[in-house]
Amino acid sequence: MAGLASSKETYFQGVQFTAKRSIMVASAFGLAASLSAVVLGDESGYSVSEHQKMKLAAIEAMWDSEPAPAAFTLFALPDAQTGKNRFEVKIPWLLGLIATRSVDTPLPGINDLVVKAEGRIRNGLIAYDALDHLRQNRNDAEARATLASHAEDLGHALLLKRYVEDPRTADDATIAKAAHDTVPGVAPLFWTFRLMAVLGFAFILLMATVFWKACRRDFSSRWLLKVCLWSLPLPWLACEVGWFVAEFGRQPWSIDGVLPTFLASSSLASGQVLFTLAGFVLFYSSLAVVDVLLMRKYVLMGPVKALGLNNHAAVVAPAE
Amino acid sequence: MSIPVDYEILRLIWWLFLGVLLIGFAIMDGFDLGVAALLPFVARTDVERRVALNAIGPVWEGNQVWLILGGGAVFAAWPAIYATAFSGFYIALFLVLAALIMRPTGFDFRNKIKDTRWRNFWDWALFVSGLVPSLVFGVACGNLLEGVPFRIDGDMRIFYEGSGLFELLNPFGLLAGLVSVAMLTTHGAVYLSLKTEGPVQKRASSYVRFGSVATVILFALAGLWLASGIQGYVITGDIAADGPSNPLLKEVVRQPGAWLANYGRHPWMLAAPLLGLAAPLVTAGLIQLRKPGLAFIASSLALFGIVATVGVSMFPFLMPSSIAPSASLTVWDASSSQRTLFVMLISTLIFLPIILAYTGFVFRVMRGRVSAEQIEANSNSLY
Repeated sequence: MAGLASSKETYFQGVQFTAKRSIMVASAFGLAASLSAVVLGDESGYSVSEHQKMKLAAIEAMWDSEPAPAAFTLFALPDAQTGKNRFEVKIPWLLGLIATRSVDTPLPGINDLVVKAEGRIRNGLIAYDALDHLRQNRNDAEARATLASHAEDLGHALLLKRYVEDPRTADDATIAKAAHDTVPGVAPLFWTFRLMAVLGFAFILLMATVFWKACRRDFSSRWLLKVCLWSLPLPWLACEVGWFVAEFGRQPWSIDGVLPTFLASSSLASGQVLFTLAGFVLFYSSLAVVDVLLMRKYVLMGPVKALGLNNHAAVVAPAE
Repeated sequence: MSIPVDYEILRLIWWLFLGVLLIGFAIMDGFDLGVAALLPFVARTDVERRVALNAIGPVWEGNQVWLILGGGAVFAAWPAIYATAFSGFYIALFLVLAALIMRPTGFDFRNKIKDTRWRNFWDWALFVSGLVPSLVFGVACGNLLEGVPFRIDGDMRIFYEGSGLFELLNPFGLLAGLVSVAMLTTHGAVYLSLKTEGPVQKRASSYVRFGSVATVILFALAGLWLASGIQGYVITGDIAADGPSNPLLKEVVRQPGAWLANYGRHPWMLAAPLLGLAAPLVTAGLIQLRKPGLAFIASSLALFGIVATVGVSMFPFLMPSSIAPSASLTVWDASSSQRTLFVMLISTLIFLPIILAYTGFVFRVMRGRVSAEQIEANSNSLY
């Protein structure tokens, strides 16, 4: 809204009044929204450290476990081949505070989590076997008890289905490979997360500046209006990279530790999926073009003409 | 926490809710679809078309909630059905979605440019947005009655073996699709004769006469075909109604006339098809007597009867499999867990009345007819 209003004000001095009001409303909401994004982000960081430890470790390119309180990696060149960062800049304590809200909880690194995953796969095989027995005989109490005590790791056994039909036949090398599959792509996660965070803080800075100036009835700064206008696509970009972090960071799971993605997807032929993907892209793109053209038309028209003569009075002499 | 309602009862309740939501959708959004599908025919001039559009303008988005609610209920209460139907009817549902996306854009874009070609284009887009979903929902029901080609492997992964869209468009499926189009366009026309005046109302009323007779004939034809030519499905042997939702634990066979077996066992179920046959004729009669309000109720009852007929004929089947009948999805083995069903029951009991209340409120506020004068006086703010 601030972006649109700025463009209007920049190019059409005649409707300054509406634009100024829009900027005031937009900057107040924008500031509140960007601040609350930090609170929400902090909350998700805490919950990720609890439920999706691998995602957190990958986002932070944290190959080895960090002693408490963990350091935050500001910059790194992750190398998946060696399981190390080629170069890194760290801020001590910060990650431990964000992710665990404490100074005495260590955070597990990627390499240790892989070792742990291997143990969970072996444990899950026991559950898988028990489930098979239970399917053959619903009243097998022993199998039911075994399944109940190992059910937490059943999903890990399913990871083996990528390589063998029956997970119980997998050899040690296959199990090690499946354990290694639990690591998502570290470098893309590391960088998209940082892009999102930088954008988030940039929004706060921008909205706070605009809000501060708007409160002092100062709308004169042309460069600020230009920044607002050109920031229009940035919230969208922040959303997209945030979505990428959430979904790509979850791989290879659809439900962390329960259902692997390759088992969760439907059995549709790729041609069908390609058809609908292409269809939606074409369809939405054409609608977007029409939408933008209409918006442009109405922006050029200005609020008085767009609303029609009946509402003319309301726009020109608004009730204070 | 122990759950105070039996699994079996919960499954039955959610089967009923599924019916309520589908019927709710047919009654509420059905007339929006019907009006859109009739738009180019019952309304000829620009102002007439805007009268028709603004008759559903304030309510269509709210009505669409029934579709979302229905989809959501299937997803949460009958996840196996959701997975099988959305993968199996993939391209068909893509078409429905694309058509439904044309609806808001049609409404919102249409009056933004004063150009006959532009407005005609969106009028036909709205026509498609009404016709395609009406047709596809009917075709889907027809295919459910015939059985759908899917199987389930040991990991409970569902494999749809059909060849896609054109397989769905078989003669019986198309007939069911026509029943759906006839009943929803009739319903839309009844709504227009209730909410408009002048030429739009006149044309809508005369369409009701044609549409309701067509509905009865097509519905009766489909019934005869179902009785004589379509094999139904029967569970042989035991099925635990409170057992785990694993569709592979039972035996099913196909039998001619099996879809009529429920009516022999529970004759009261005949009320559904009888309502479907009688109510459209009552609708036409009430329109003739210039009682569009009562006609709308009669038309709603017709939709109730027709949709309920599909449900009770198939019970306890929800989605039979034509290639692996024993993998068919039924009320007893395709639901989510007892706890999920119970928690959702509680939230439905809280939220459904709220939805009904605000829907009722909107209809009250927006009562009365839409006239050409209103459109011309508020040309820039109305659809």
